[in-house]
Amino acid sequence: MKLYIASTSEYSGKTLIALALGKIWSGKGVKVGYVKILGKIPVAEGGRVIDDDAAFIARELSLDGPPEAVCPVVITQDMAMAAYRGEDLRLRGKISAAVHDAEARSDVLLLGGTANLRDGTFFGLSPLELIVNYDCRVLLLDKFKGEKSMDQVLWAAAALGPRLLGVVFNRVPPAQEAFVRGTAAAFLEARGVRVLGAVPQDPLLDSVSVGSLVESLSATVLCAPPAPETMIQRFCVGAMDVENAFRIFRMIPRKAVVTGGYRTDIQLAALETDTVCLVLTGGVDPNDIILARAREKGVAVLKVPGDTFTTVERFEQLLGRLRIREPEKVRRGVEAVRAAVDTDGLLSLCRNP
Amino acid sequence: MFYSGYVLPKELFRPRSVAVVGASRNPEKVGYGVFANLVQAGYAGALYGVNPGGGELLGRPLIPSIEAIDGTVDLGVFVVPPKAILEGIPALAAKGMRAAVAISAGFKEVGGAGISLERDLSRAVAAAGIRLIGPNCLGVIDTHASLNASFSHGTPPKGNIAFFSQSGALCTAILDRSIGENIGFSKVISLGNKADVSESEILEFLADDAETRVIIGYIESVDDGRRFLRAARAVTPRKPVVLLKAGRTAAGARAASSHTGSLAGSDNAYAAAFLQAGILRAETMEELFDLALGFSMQPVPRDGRLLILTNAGGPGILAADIAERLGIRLAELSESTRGKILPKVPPTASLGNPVDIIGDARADRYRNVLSALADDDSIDMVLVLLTPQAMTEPEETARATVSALAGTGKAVYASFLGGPAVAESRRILNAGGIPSYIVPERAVRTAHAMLRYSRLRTSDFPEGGESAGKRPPAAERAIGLILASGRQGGEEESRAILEAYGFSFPRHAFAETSAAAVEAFRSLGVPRAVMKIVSPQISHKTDVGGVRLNLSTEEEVARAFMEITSSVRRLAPTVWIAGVSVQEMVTGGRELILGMSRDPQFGPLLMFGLGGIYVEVLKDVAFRVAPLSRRDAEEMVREIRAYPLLAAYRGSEPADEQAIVDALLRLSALSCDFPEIQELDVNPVQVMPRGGGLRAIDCRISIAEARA
Repeated sequence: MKLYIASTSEYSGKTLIALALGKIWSGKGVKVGYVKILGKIPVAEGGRVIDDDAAFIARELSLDGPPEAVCPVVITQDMAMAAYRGEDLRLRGKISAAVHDAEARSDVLLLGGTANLRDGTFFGLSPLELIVNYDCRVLLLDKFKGEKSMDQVLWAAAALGPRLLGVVFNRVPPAQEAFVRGTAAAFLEARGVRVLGAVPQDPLLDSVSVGSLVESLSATVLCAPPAPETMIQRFCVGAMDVENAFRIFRMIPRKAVVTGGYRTDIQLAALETDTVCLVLTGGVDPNDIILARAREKGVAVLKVPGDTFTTVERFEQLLGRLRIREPEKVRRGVEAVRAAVDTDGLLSLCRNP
Repeated sequence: MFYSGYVLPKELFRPRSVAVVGASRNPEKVGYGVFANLVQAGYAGALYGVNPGGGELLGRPLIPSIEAIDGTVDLGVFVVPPKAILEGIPALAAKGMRAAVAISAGFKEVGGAGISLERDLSRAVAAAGIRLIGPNCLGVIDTHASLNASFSHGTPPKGNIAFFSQSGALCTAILDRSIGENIGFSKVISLGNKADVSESEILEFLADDAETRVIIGYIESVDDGRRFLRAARAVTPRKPVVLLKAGRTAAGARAASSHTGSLAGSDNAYAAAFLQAGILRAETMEELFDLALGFSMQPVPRDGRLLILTNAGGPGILAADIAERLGIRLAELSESTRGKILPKVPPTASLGNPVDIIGDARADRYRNVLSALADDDSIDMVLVLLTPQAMTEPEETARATVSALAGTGKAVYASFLGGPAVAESRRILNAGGIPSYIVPERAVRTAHAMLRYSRLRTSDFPEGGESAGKRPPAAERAIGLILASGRQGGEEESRAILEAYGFSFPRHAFAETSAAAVEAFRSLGVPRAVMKIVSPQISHKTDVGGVRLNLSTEEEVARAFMEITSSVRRLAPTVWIAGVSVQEMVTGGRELILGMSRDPQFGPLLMFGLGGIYVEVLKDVAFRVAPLSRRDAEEMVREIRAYPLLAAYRGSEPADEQAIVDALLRLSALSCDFPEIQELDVNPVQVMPRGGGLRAIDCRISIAEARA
């Protein structure tokens, strides 16, 4: 039995859903397998390239075997250039081998899809074709965006036909939860599309740990956080004068403050409020008082060489496209799926479509 | 800024008649203070007080309106609200006014409507064909014309120091002090908001002023950096200019911006511009005063040999220490001087330098030694120190110091240490034209500044290699590409621009795939290679794992390709990767950084430093404003503290200093040819041993639309 996890757009939570379904169903004695069809988060390790997400899920679900078993194809620069030149990449065989192998070892095999139902076509891997060829059922994920979501879901439902088991809306803003469960679900059900859940937005899941921030910004740690997985929920730029900074900083919990290394006033204001991390730009070290105070309060202090503008640009690229890695996020994410998605219903649909 | 463009008229300081518009009978009003200062300073020309109420002030009749003035007016002083000034200017111009001083506030400095009022004021001044000081200022003083058209507290004594200031409050503070210490001024100009007359024009004007020997000033910002630079270059060979520039630190600069409403520009740019224009920069108000006194009273030393004369060991050693640290040579007494002094001092006296004539020295011993020094040509500067012991005669010694070396052409400074015991002697010294400092350090620092000035003056300001105005087509094309794709040049375009200006880069080849990278490595045939990501969207390559060094085998090259491109795909998933650049790894050089950033006041500001920790941690960099002369470029290289590392050391060859100088000159030309370039970094650059030239390793250029 193969369940293809599809999504309408990138960063809609496929990895989290796969992880949660794997954990929840295994807990009920179901043997769950996982294969990510096309890896896009390459990590070069010991002369080969593996997909960061797939490797993570394999670890979490205790799936044995080499990295190729969970992610047979990882896109590299060489592969992309070969695709442009129209070379035969011979990817299908690798994928089929991995899928058949994993299927033989599991009751339910989860297939992690690409960003949307077209993504991968360039490499000769059209998701719609793969779904048909491997005879998959499909779970569709959508990051709820009102009418745009309706368009996406209806189009996918038409393209997938009876293979679509249902849709899960993810990252639904709390104010829209009732609307999604009521009005939007009723609309889709009336058109033959089952809504299997609406997972509310959770600031913690959107947060980033100090550890991954250090990696993403190539920052120097001047004062270590209490733990690398200390979570940051919001970012704040400290470019205002100090009175305004205080007012704004007080309103924002568990934040990282980005400011110039020389802005001692802003740094002090940040340390007086609920701040998890100071990100100091311009390659300037703060003065000793700041470091001492930060140490006392357990606030991480990072230094980055770029200016505030560049650093904020990098932050913005990170937001909303964060990977779930930290144990706290995994627990929280799995619980959110358990509470908001009809996983039992989905399992029986898989077994008896 | 709106300049009316006429040369400053002499009537500004030497008017035959003055009208004070807003003269007031209320002693608490500024309009009273200005009128009273004019009367009390003894202004001899026709003086009209204009006040609609009429009546009498300090024995002179007040005139109800400008129109009612019977006669011509050379200088108009306005102490009325902004609107009344705007009306008064054409009215007084009709009476022949050539220059005006607007003391009233309520213009640009208050923001809002004040900004448009100030613009109106500039227009009114230009339309009337006059020149205006202010608004929002203290006024102007010319002691030699007995003119005090300001609301200062009292009038300073006559003297040869001209003082201009962007801060009126600082003017009053300095004037009050000068009156207390009997320090003479020639002219005092409070610039205020500089709606018309700027600091540059004042500098040019004071250069020709016969009564001024030294120009000192306090500025927060200059309006037009390049014009200021030109003006200062014309003035400093003729007269010393000492400036106190506020806003050194970021906090100070923010305060200055909000005070003056103009971008302060970087302090680095000011420091560089001052240096290139021969302006001496005072760090504190004390130093401004100290230097003013030195230049005002003493000749500029011909050369740098200093003799210290003291009656106590400690202060002498302190002074010698500072002199040494500042690089002042201590003079050696000639045989004949020694012969003259020996019979006049006790055997325990020391005839080295400092010359220590020991604690019991009375005035005659000082006099004898000083007159012996007068004929010694190996001495250019003399510092006379004294500490008051029971037998010391401070006043008599002061008189001896004043008379003994007068007319010898030697610069003489004094520091009589102590309190009440030496107070009168200091007064005698100052009155006699010997600058006296309460501690030896300040005397030595003043001597040092005067010596620096003498060297600046004797070397002409080189004309910078102003660009030929030719824009190389290759650079022009690359600039176009950068503009079309945003504002930040990728490495390819930036390199093309720098190559057009004679920079050479390591041999390199572009590769789209790992196989092509291996092929590139093979064809370069270099022992070691560097690989870098090529993407127009990535400016900090190392931040995304986009650089690998020291690749020496084909396997390493292939693996590096995979690692670099994977890392970029993961950390920057939205950017477009063109491929990688495989480059020859340059070794055997020393790492430098060259750069340029465009300062809002002074234009292109060039930067030079040694790479790595020298720039990042130690901030050991030199700045100059472009265009650079060869001498400027040479000084930049030698100015950094790490300069000795460029010379031969620990068995390494000296670096190719000439190549660095040439590179700086070419960057200067580039910055002048392409005003669109906002920022430019060539970092790192490897300088090879002498004769080996430079290799630029990486570079970044950012562009803005050129300002008209």
